[in-house]
Amino acid sequence: MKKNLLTKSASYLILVIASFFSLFPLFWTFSTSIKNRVDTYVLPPKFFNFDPTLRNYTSLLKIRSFPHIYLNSIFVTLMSTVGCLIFGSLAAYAFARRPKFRGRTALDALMIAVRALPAIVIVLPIYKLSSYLGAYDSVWALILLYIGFNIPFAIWLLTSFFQQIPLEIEEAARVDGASNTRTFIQVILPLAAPGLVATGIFVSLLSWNEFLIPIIMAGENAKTLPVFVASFIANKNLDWGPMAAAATVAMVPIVAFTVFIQRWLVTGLSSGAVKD
Amino acid sequence: MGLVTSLSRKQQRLTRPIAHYTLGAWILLTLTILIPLFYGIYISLLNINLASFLPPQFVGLKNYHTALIAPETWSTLKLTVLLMMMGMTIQIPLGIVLALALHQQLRGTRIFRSILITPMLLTPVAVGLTFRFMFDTDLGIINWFLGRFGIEGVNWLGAQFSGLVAIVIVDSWQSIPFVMLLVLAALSAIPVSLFEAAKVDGASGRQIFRNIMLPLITPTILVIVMIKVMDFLKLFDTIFMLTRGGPGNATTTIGLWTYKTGFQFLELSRAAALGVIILIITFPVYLLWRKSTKVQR
Amino acid sequence: MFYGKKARLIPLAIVSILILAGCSKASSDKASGEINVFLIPSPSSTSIQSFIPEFEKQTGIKVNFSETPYGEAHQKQLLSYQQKSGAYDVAQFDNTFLAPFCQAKVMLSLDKFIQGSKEYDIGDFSTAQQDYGKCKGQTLGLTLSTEPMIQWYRTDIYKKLGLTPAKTWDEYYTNAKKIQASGEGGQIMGFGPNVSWWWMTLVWSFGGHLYDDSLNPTVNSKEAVAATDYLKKLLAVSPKGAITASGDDVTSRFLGENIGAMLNYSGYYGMALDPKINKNQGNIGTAPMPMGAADITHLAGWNIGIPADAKNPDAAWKFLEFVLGKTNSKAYLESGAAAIGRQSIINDPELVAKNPYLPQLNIPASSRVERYPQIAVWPEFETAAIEAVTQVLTGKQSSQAAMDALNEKLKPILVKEPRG
Repeated sequence: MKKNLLTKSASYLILVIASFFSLFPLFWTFSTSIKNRVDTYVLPPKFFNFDPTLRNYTSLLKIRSFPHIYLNSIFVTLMSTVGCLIFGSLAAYAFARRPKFRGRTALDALMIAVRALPAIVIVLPIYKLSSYLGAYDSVWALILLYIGFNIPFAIWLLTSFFQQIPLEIEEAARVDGASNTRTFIQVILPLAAPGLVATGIFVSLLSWNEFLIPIIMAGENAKTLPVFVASFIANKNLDWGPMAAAATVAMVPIVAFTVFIQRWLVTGLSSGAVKD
Repeated sequence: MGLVTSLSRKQQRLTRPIAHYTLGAWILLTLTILIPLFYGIYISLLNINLASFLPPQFVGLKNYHTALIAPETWSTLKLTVLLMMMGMTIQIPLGIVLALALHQQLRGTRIFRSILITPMLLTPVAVGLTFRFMFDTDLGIINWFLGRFGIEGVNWLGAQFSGLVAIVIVDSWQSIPFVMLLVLAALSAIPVSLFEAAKVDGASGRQIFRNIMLPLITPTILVIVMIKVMDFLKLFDTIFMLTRGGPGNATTTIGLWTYKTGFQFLELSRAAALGVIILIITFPVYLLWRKSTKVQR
Repeated sequence: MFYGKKARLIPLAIVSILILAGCSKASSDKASGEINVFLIPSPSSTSIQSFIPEFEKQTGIKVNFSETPYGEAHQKQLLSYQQKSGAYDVAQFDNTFLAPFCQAKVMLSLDKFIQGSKEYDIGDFSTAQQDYGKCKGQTLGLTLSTEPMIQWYRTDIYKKLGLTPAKTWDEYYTNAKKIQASGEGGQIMGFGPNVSWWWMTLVWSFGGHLYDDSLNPTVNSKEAVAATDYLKKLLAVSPKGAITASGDDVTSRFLGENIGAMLNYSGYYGMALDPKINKNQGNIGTAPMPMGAADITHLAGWNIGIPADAKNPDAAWKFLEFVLGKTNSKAYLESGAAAIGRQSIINDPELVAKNPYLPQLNIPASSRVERYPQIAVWPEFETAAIEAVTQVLTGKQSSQAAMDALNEKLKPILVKEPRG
């Protein structure tokens, strides 16, 4: 396809400007996090001409509960991703291979409803219920909730992936006498591996970033990183350095993650959406 | 939600039922969604206040009546719709523009793509915090930059209109990549042959866009609009971090108002009633969604 | 793996794990050597944190703390106390939540600790101060800061124009008008998201009340409407942008720009000591608030107490005694906290020299002390009041109309307040 010079340069310009806007807030947060206080509260802002310091990060680490909170986030994210993938792939497989089965329409409807539902509608009753069960401030309650909230999305994505697997392979396995389970585990899952990875990435991101649920359901024990980051808004007087350090610490893993797996992400979104 | 495949009758007969595979999902959804939902409806008929230790009483539809005559319910609803419109007018066109730029398949597209999708993945709370100090009236970098053009001291997070603009800016920063990716995928699905034929016929770029691309990406745009409507109804983290819905209720959406009622005023039952009202409002969107996804098949 | 009969085990497993995990929370502070402190970001909180290393060294008791933003802090505390989980041993809270905490009976009575503590020395506090943390005759919270609303003014601007700090509200207005005529900002208050602080103060000072003894709202009384009118009048002699100023904005603007006077809590004085914020070092004076028809002192400030479900109340008291006791009281003030109104502090000449506002913390016995309304429905009340006052300030409604509407709106809200 012949591209004329005007379109090409216009596109480059647009992409460069957009990239600048995408990256600048990250750059600014990071640079604020390595500044001393005297360099933060100054106009004109200092972009590069300051002495960097790790003071803000060390003060973050000195907060005794910080490692615990970080570990909570990792643990909850991991477990909820695993849970979503296990139960999600099972259900998605059923959706992909059986156009009609008992309760399918109901489940279908429920999953879309969850997607449309603002979490606040559910979380308030959940809080009240959890106080009866003694499940307030429990990591496992968080994990259960994260799985429940994210499973519709996981099923949605995984179903398209399963649909792409040719039926012939399954038929071949069945002809060889494999049971349903064996077919699923040994044949289908490996083939759907890219889809599982893509879905897993999305679900982990959703869990890592979840805020409304833990801010209501978690006390000190089950606190996760977003809740910790949110506690940095306070008086004007506050040192922006630690604030920026907290934000950076929450964002860096994701940025690193993106660079690493961006290929999977795009596959996931495009196949999920287009194959609608 | 294309969940129907065409299996031949023969295939259906050969295979054993696997409906029970969905059992796990059913149980999870029942526990985490259905039960709380019904419990929420039940709570909305009582008068629970978390600060009071009195036993709750049954008050029927009183909370709904209170909610419907309260001006805040309608003002926050109007605000939510306003936010939606402001957001979508910016996010959809810009998303399309970026998708078109990426679609050119220029050198370095992959790098640009990874950079551009990064904002979408970041924790909204951390992003909110970041923009909070960028939007600071006296020492924020945004006002410094505007000051160089003679625009002085905008109170971004302390007034209604500027607060809404700030929220839209931050939400757009995180949402435009999403729009971009979906449109890009739709563009990539257009057969190249169509473009070639158009070129042969001597069509200009604008004509190609209007007559080929636009109609073919319209279904995707509709999907995006519906997802964005649902997302705006759910929007919480960003507003919470930027303005907390303030000043007063000036930037409070209906979701945030429900949170405030339940967790700041501790009026759990009234908040539950608001939640049910939100459900009722969301219902038509949900129906539209189902209808449109059926149509697509 | 997960199919058929085995699938039914999964939900069982999930539910049992859930219940087990919920019941057996990691209670690492069962050992007598650890306490959890709930703090709210503030200069007081920063100061408390600075005392932790020394306390740990001296007593060997480990101190964990967490900060929760003001907007969530009290709700979080209430929710936690309802669970009776003993999550916190020490908790900072705003005085406005003293009554709700009292009604819910979630705070330990501190009197038995106080009576036996020479170190804390309750006698060092005036009676008004001693009552600050009392509810139904029991002390549920120690005073963590004493912050009356006072008049701040620029000594240099006042000298130049031959003005003296106002004794009446009319004087305050004319002072501001003169200053504005000379080209500077006349006075500043927070007309924005925290306007309730000033509005309440004026209503009380003008002789009005927010509600009567039977909890009927009285915001549309003659006095209250007059106060609202006055507030609007002051907006005209305030610098541009004051209409959206928050409580923090007011102080930073007063200290950083050229504004003649401000009405604000004395606790903000910490900001005046910071040369990065205060561009008018040496020119900041303080005086008592102007007096209206009623002689009132609007007293605000933090309380700090021990939750009833605390796991380690004795260690908690040791901590409070250490940080807030007489021995460390000077160091506490100097660590940047908002002052606590101990007589020994307020009248210490050395401290007064460095912190000239301290004498304002001597509340005259004649003055009626008004505090943040001690009602559980205050968050809702306040939100409604701020909305109504904003209508007046932006000219959308007259004071009388807005206050009448507000009064009606407050009736169903106040009805919900638990009585007795």
